[in-house]
Amino acid sequence: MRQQSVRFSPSEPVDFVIVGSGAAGGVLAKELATNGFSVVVLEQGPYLTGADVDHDEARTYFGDGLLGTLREHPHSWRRTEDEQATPASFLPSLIYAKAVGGSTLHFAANYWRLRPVDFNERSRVGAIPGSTLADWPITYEELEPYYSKVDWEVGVSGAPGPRDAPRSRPYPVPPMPIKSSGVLLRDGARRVGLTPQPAPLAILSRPHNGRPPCIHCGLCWGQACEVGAKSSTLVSMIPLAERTGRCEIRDRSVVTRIDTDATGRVTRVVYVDREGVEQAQAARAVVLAANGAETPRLLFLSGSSQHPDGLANSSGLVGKNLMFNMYLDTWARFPERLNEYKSVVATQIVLDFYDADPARGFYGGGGIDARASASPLFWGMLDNPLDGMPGWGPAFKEQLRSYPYMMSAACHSTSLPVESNSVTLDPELVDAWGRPGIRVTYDDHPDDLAFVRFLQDRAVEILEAAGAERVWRAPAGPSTATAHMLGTCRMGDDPRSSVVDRRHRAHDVPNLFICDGSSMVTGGRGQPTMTIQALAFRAADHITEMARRGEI
Amino acid sequence: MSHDLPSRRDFVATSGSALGGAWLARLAPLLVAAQACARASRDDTGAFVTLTAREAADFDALAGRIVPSDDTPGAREAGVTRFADRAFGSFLADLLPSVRAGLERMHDRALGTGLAPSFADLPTEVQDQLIAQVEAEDGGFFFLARSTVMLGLLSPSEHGGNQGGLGWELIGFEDRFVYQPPFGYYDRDEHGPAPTRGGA
Repeated sequence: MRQQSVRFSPSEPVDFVIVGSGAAGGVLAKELATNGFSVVVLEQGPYLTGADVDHDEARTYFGDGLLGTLREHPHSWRRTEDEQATPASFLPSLIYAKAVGGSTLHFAANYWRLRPVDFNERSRVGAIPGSTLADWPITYEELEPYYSKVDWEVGVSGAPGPRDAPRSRPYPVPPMPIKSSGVLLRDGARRVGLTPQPAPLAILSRPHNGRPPCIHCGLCWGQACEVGAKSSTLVSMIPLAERTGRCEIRDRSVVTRIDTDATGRVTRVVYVDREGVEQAQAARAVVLAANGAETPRLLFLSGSSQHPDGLANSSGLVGKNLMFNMYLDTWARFPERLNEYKSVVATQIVLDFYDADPARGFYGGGGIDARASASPLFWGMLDNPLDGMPGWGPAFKEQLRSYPYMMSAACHSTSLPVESNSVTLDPELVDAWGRPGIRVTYDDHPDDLAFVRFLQDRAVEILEAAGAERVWRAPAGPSTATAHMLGTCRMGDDPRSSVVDRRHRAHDVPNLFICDGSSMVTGGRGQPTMTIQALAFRAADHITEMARRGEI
Repeated sequence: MSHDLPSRRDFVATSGSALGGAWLARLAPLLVAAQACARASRDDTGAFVTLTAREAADFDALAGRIVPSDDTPGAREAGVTRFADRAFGSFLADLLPSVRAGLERMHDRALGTGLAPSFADLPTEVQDQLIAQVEAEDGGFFFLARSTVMLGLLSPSEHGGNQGGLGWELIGFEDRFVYQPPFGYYDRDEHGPAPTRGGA
């Protein structure tokens, strides 16, 4: 059993309660505890044991694995505000782990940085109809030292590439060994005049920070890592936080609201403990890091007379401007075996189309990576696996056999902020702890669809140049599920058009900080976790300074 | 499948000290227990407990047409109906009413042919005709049934399906825990000095 390093009394205020232990929460816990503050992390899921880490896809997606069950975590989806939302009934539409470490447990670990252009794109491309595209209040240069901190402290493998943003330090460990899909993407891309490069991954290729390297077991996407080579916060940050003796990880603690006093300051965080009993942890300040869907829900549930539309919501923007990143597969079959079920998800990327180009007639930018066509389970479950192929019978059985010969050139790209794309409270669904279910409203911006189709055309060219026997295009949109929930408490200098300031302090509440995917003003071109963690390291520095100056 | 490397679970259960770390040490006893549980469940060949005998027979027949048995085993040999019986009694219990109602509608279609007392008793050509109808006209049920068949075919055998690893063998997936490069044909020359190129 894990040794709990410290226990705090719920009635005695700690310096910080952090809600969530994932990409941002894990970093903030480690940084703030290391800087001398007392910290309680409230995590709705369990502190994992081996029984939760078994690469069992049935359990993950349909059982009581990392994602939790739909009965416990009901949520719904609709395309527009006029529609009745449909509850998820088979697979989750909002895909995130409920466990200590959050979705860093099951992510694919693609760790792209944003580039300078991402931070001031509104100024560069101008207004886009239907979008609330805005500049960030910070620059790439401001965030760069924290990206390097993620590389070294969390643990990222990689090698500099021709399309990289400037970096102040090299990668701590070399890129993961190239897979067959990476070779094919690399060679195909070069043949059509592009400049592929190794994929940066939060997976160790060599021992680093006392953790072992990857053993190439595969299925990183969706499953946690048995050996701790994947740089989840569970293995990279949480142990360091606990080792300070100032950080308590309180798992199976489901936060139901944040209480405020008559002056509008937060005073305590109310949660349901593992026994189902309501508790409250007093705090001098609260950091919300629950993800871009859970964070706005919690703010909506924490309204008061001072905060009638939900906590920190005087702008009316809590939950709005939801962004995902577009994702689109381009499948190809090759004559020989690739065996893409082995090792990490992606080993090569093409970033030549990262920048938006007005000459295309639509906004957008993105990248292509080489990866498995699907996990073993989803290779079989894809409803109509490959366009024009049968879904049952002898021909389907024959098609199942082609799994080791398949890969995908997956397209990752921009999704514009649109104010009506949102997270709200479902009026009917109630979760296992009495909270309203999360309702997503999401309609893809036409430019997002146009760009990802453009990118897929490039992916087809690459795969054909690589010698594919046949290429299939997955259809673009409409989005019906996501693992990236971004932008719902956007950062900005103006309290009328943003929820948090450039230091992640809520404009409306001096002792409330929000730092997770919700803080992002734009979503980048895919792979947001690297940026979420850089923001968390940076936020921790600012929060520490403010606390030490008595400004919280 | 012949394995010259240990399976994923064997590896974790026996190699904790080799890789070291509290993380792995925590896993080992639990995975040993999981293996014992898996062995016990594989011995279970008793009656179906969630599905009725007719439901199980019809589901089995349907599974046998989705991934047929020919010169190699199909969904039936992999035990997907055993999987379905367990799953609908546990982690897929919320889907049981929909699947049960769908099986009933499929049964009615079978009776409507006047050829046999159940779907399972129909000739396979007629079963295929009915499945095409179900796919077109009762898509929600077909999706659930087909998904369940694939879950049973491609999930770990602890859940009752994928017996003997037949499903994974069909799609060419090996359940090993450790791989070394090269991983496939196209990266065969990428992981060290190419022998034909001399000392470049």
